[in-house]
Amino acid sequence: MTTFLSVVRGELDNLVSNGRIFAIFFIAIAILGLYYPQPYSSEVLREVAVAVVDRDDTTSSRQLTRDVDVSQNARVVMKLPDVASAERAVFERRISGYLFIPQHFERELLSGRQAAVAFYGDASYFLIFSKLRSAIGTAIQRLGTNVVIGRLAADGMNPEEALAVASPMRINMIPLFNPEGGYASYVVPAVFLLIVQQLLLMGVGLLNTLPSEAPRVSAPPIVATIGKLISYMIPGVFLYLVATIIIPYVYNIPRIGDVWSSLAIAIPFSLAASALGLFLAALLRDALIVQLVCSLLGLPLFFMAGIAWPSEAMPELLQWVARLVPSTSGIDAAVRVNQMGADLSDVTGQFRVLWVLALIYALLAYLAMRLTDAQAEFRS
Amino acid sequence: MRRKTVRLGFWLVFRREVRWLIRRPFLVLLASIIPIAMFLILVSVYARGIATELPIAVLDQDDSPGSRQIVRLVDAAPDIRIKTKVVDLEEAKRGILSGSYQGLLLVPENFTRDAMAGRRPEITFFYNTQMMVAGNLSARGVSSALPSIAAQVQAAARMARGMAADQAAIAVRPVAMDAHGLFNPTLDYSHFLLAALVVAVLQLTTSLATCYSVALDVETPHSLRILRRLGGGIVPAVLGKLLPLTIVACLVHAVCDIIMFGYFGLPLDGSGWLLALSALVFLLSCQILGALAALFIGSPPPALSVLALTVSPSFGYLGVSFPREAMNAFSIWWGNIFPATPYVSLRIDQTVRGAPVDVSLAILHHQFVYLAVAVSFLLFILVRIRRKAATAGTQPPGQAAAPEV
Repeated sequence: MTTFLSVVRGELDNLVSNGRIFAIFFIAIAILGLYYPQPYSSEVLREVAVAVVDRDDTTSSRQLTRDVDVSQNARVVMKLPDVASAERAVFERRISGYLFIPQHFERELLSGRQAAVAFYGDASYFLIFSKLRSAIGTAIQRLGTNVVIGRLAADGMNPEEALAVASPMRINMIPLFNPEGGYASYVVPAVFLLIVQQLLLMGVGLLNTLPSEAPRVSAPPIVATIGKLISYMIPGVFLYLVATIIIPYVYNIPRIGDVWSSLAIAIPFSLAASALGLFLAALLRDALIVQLVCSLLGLPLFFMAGIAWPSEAMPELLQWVARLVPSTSGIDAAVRVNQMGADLSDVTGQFRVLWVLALIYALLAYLAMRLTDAQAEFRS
Repeated sequence: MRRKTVRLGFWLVFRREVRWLIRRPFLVLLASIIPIAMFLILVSVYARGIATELPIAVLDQDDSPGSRQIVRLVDAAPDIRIKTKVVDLEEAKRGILSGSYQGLLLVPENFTRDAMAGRRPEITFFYNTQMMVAGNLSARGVSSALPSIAAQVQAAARMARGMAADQAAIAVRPVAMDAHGLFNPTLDYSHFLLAALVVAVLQLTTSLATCYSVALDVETPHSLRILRRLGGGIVPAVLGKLLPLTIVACLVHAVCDIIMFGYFGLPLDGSGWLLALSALVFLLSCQILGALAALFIGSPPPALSVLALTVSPSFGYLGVSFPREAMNAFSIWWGNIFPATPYVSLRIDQTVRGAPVDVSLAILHHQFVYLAVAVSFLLFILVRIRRKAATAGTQPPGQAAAPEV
């Protein structure tokens, strides 16, 4: 027990006395907190710029243009004479799409034939294209419904009945949990949990590879492993709380979850991440390499976590590999609890994976430590 | 005569750098195998292409032939599949919270009866926007299926009243919209994301590898002076020092591009030479960025930390997932410090978008200005280090550089 306590104390001493490690655990998150979310801080993408090529120039075509302009997702920024100039504007990224209204548009409408318009949207961006298509689709739908009602009313139908014929059912699309559709609310909570993992990996990795000033406490590997992991809970839980409470607060990101459920995830998550860090340190042995590997892992691990791209759409093998990384289950569980208000019982699967990972990596770190000790003994 | 010594000096530094790299296998790995491995992992994330058949749930409170028909038609949409039928909203909520499915289609009681009676019943789709991509994809699937279902219902009603099928279709839909996704008709985003991810990976590894290699020289006393003497001047020394890694980076970029164009079928709808030139300027700019970090900070560990901390978040600033036009002023401005930002635009323009060359030339011009500014900055610092070393006599240049920052 005393050796155990001295391991914990020794580790905490190291953690505070080494400036670099202290910075990784307690200061880097503040810098990243300011820096990382900036591109997404405008949150909602509204008013995508579009052009209209109106070859008809009649009351109906101008009405359609106005309908597109007033929709909350699109704004008509220019009227262009032909398709070539509209294409050019798309290439120059001045507009994200254009609506082409052909000649005789109104004549076709009034004569009861089908009038056609064409919409060309820059599909390079998923978000822009879906917003734009829904804005223009809605405007056209509205015009179409009005035309049908007008025709039916002309045939002597009363307006209410005409509406029911023109549009027999209402379609209601309701976004849940992030009703503003904010991009920051989607990306930032997930990214910051990944950052917590990366900082833990790097901090723990460096702590166990850099030469320490204080003499190392000699303890049997099992006691050393447990003692170290317990002491890393302090920066681990601290970082988790900053990422799940302070960062969302600063960026006005909804957080509706129960704090205790969230904390319950913090424990296996930080244990699993620090145990992985301990294992990486034993594997790589060199501080600089640990540091480089940790900075390189961030990008692929984020894309494997199932946030940027749904994990259902990934190859199965990759889904399995991704589950070996604490961030995959950790991000999923924490976002569901914090941003969506899930109970711990809704995320039992992810919660269990985190505990299993914590145990596996702790065991691996312990075995690696025993091996190093045995080698040292052999040499002396 | 002078030209010859310059060329000789360049080769001396170049050979020294190559020998140095061979002795440091991790540095070579960092510049070669690691970016390719990172790229392969990212590629495998998007290997299946378009996300289809995302699971959703349905709560059919009507359970009539009409409502079952709607459920079947929604299930047939390619983006989604109906994974389960739930019995109440509570069960649906738990399923969405736990992630079993992305959304819920709710068909209310008496749906068919109300529709027939002209009471315009409401069909609702709840979708998870916290998981934005998955949620929006499933919403897209439902919202593209439902209007055509509504149109079918209408047309059927009119045909029942004796209208011909084609006439009924026109009457239902007096304005037809022909929607085209420019540059990406299949709405497959993997080309765009992967084109940008290659760049993000190369920016990170190339700048880190160069920073590491330069920092090792900055850290060692006299090393910069030896390099300068060996090169016979600052310029040949810089070139000789940087070019071996430039060659490695170009090869790695070529391997990634072979995978992109060959296996993933990234279209090349633009000018190949423009793309190659832009890639070269990009890689050189990354190297200069790494070298500047090394010169400013000195020893490898902090230099690499600062560089990694600065460059890692650059993916968000590139404007691939979230468009640059919608960012705040700081992000638009700060995005310019990454060599990847203009290169990603040019790369997407000259591959998938097939933009006219003159649009991309403006971006290339921007890249050249960046490189010129970065190189002059680098030379300026090196000249200052030499002057300080000269006035301080025997003081090693690495330490002389430190007080400047």
